[in-house]
Amino acid sequence: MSGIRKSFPGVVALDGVDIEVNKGEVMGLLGENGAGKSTLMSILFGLYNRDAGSIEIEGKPVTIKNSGDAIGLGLGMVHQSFTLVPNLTAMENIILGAEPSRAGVIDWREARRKVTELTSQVGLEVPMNHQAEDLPTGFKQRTEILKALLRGAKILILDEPTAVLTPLESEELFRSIRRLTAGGTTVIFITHKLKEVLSITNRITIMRRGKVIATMETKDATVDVLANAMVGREIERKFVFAEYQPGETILDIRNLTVSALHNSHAVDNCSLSVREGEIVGLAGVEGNGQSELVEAIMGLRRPLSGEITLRGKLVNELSTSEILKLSVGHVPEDRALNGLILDFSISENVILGSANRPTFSQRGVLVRGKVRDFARRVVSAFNVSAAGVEVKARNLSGGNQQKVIVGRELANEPRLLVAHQPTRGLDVASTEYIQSLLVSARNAKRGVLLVSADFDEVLDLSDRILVLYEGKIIGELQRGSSIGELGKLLGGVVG
Amino acid sequence: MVLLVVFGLQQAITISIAADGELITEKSGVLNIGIEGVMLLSAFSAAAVNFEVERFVGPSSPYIGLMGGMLTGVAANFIFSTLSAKIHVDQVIAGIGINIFAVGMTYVMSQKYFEIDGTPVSNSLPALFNVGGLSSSLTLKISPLMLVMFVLPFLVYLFLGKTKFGLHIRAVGENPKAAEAAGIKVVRTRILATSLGGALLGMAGSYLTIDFFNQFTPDITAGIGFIALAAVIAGGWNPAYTFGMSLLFGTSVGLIYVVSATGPLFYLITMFPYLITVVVLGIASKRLRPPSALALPYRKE
Repeated sequence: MSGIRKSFPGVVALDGVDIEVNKGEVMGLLGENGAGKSTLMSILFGLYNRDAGSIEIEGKPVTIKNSGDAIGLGLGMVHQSFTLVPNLTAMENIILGAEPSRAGVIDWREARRKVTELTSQVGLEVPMNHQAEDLPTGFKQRTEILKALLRGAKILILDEPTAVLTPLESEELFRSIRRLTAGGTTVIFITHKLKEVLSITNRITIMRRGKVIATMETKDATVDVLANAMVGREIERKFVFAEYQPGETILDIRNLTVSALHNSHAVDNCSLSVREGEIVGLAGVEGNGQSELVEAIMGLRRPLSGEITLRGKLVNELSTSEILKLSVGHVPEDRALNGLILDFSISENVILGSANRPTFSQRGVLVRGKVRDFARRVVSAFNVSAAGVEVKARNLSGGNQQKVIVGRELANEPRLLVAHQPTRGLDVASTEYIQSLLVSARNAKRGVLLVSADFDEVLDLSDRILVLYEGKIIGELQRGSSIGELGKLLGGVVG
Repeated sequence: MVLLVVFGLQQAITISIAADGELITEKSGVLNIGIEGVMLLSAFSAAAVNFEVERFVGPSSPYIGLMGGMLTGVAANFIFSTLSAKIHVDQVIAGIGINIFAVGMTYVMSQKYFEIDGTPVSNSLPALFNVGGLSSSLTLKISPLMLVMFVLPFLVYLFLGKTKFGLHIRAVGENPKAAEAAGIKVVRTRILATSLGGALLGMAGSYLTIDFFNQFTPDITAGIGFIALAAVIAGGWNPAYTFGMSLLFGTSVGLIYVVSATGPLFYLITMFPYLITVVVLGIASKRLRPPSALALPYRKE
């Protein structure tokens, strides 16, 4: 397989990417969120169409229009979120779509024979008669891999395979990968974890912002080289920071543990605090526990243990509305899903959660005039460009939607602002504007917890940076730290 | 008591066969609220086909009417699933649409065809055998469809559990994305499953006109379709339990014919099957797990 090149313009652009994978090797595809790794592989696997470029497998140009084509060409992909049917057994999932059958009736004996042969060959044991939903994550992943192999995959794409695994499960996965490549299978290993990429791959291709930055032999790579290449540095942004004089502690978290959906610990014994007049950046690649941590702070998810104290008050057991009353503003991770009601107008959106306030309603009836006045103030104070306050949120650009949310939260003058991925997916101008709002909130002596996977943003804005990795805070950096230091921590390398 | 059992079984025929059809449909992720309307259309078609054949061809066989009813069921469900699976029309709205359409359509058409309500269908399904001497002079007919009722749940179980297509149906109803990734055509599978279910809905509807009542009257289904829908849910989408629920609901309908009551008691008895449906559903719905993708349209990215 050689010479893949594709480019496609748009928000998530792959800007003329060339990669080469050699037969029988493990090729690491390294990059931060949004670098284009998954998009590239999705194109290879026929899930997205490319705008330009070509794909060759074993020297022959191929057309891949859908995943069926890809499977036919011997490609297999294991996605980050598994594509298993939850209430079918592992066996049923593995043979699904490729069932050996006679006259429409599934030949189970043949199916079992094939699958057993495969498992003994590659050493991936799975309890075949258990329903997929009851399997531990590691086994689910094995089921996915077996599924791909049964369909004759010679090139296996693993998208962030260890993101969901425990260290022990990862070790087992690595053993299987070695066994697979020894048998001639080629593996493309997508990851952002530096240590892993160094331990399992033969070669590494590093991507950043839709481009290939470097390709190197793993034996020539070091953690530092990889970290710098992965994170990179492009534009210097300048904000006016008032002198750093943090005041009293607003948010104090002690030994917090929060569970993810499936009993693993998404947040594992974390402690952190935010004081007045500082921006604390919580950096981490997505999926390392940020969402769960924020949900715990906002009362959307109950902590298993530990203490969350807001302005001296223990809030573990409080409801979200009680927490908001303690003067907390929250800019949620997904603005379209949790930040706004898209089919509501701007004026309805800006009073979400505060509609009961006497200014906005009297005896349970909304006072339209006052609501509109407030909405107009938000719109003009926060530079929302919209035809009026009765425009539906859906019809605003992403940047303007986010301004409405940030505006709504800041208009309430919160003591603490929890901003989760506040600039994700925004254009440069909106990004800078939102970031400047965070800085002025800090300068106005508010506390800001900035949770972000945009590492430039974290470095630019934060007075202190905490790095979250696999649910643990593995390091703290001060303002002015280098990208290399952050890059290492993000990749899980301490010291 | 024997009477209740026999009447109950007769009533259960429609409910159970319809429930089996709906079960297959729902397993593929398509929720057909229009089950009542589809059955009504089929009931009408069965009678109308019989009527037409007799008028133009000569003596008809009730099996021809049955075929007509089943084809109508297939056609109605095919249209419904094409609307929902392919064009992404909201399943609930499309279903309600079918129900309303069926009531109006069959009412108008029955005026045209039969001039008045309820011209008898001249020949009904021949009995497998008759049960006589149960009480005074009453003889009860055992319909061939009763045999179907008993065999069908087992067939549905085998179909869903053991065949390739059955596995595909379950996969697209639980996680269409995963099914698609495995190379299964989601939309086509859903349309086929729903159409197959439609044949059973058609059979259930036809039973009413060509066998049980021997005539078509407007609104002949009288909510039986919804009871079948409830049987699927209360049966936890499992063919055996759904069959059990159908028997329970059927027996409660049969009660109307067994208990001769007048005045307020009559209305109470008439209400009983619907009441028991609500109660059972209320109790059962807490621990149930429908197919995950039920009623959710699937859009390919």
